[in-house]
Amino acid sequence: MDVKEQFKIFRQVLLKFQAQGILQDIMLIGSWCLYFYQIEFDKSAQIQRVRTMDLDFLVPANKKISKEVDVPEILKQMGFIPTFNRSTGLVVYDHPDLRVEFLIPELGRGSDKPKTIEKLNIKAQSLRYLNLLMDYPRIISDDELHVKVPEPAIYALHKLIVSSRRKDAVKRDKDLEAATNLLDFLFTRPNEVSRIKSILRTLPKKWVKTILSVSEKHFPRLNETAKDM
Amino acid sequence: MKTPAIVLEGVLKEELARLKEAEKSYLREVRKLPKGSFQKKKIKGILYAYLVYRKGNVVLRKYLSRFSEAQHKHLREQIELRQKYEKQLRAVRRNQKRVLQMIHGRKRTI
Repeated sequence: MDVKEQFKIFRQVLLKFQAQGILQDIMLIGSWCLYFYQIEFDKSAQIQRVRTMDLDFLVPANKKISKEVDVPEILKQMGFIPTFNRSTGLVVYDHPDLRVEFLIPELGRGSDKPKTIEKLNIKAQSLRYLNLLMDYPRIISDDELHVKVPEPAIYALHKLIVSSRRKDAVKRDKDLEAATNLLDFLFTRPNEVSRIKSILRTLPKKWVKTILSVSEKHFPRLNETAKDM
Repeated sequence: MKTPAIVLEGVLKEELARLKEAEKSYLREVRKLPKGSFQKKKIKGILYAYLVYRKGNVVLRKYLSRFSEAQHKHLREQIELRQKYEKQLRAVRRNQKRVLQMIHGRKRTI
């Protein structure tokens, strides 16, 4: 994996999506957000730059997209290729250094089948708790790029909540590591700590309970903070 | 929580699986596209189009027609796309090799 090449492709994808006018509607989620958090917090070295090969985008649950864009065609021009999962019907886009995937919040009963986003000509995988991320957006600018990412506080809390549902131990550990690393940094910033508190106040009690049961073992400072609420 | 080394191994194995899927996808697309390269040849002032490709050890030159920019545009684009995908396929295989080395270490010869 060529890190420089990977970063170049990452920026190319974002710039292309921005030029097509879809970056304002979809949200960048996953480990690539950490790059923008570093920018937000003055390139703080405390935020780990661990990035996976997955470049995940979150489509709003109501599929509200302002422009009609052929996303697969854009990605094809950049050398991406569609990879089909025959059992689930999901389509992801592969490049030697990156994989672009689209996700959508799962609401109600949910279904295993991916959702078709007609306006973008893509299929998005629906997952639980993603609406959490969509509810707390932050736009971070990097030169000419303006990218919508979840607030760092909700990113960390979301990682804690999804780790409790993971069956795969490796993925669970990855989630926990990402959450605790980011929380470690956020707890050095009083503004972010108060943001964590205010977000926790708005979440359903059951979800807060899940978050705190995970953090009790892996990040007890969060439980101490939650006591003051 | 497991040690970062175990987490890293998991990430690498996940990446290896992704690269194998990507390899399959690139191969699938390459097979759909025409093989060989497009060539023009000028004979007595007239341009003729050929598709040059290899069959075993033999290089074959297949005559297409008189060269016409509009008529052969699609074929040339398809060949360019195949060459682009082949380049990406080589990169995927290179990455696979690197990931395997990271997981198992370099093979030592005795």
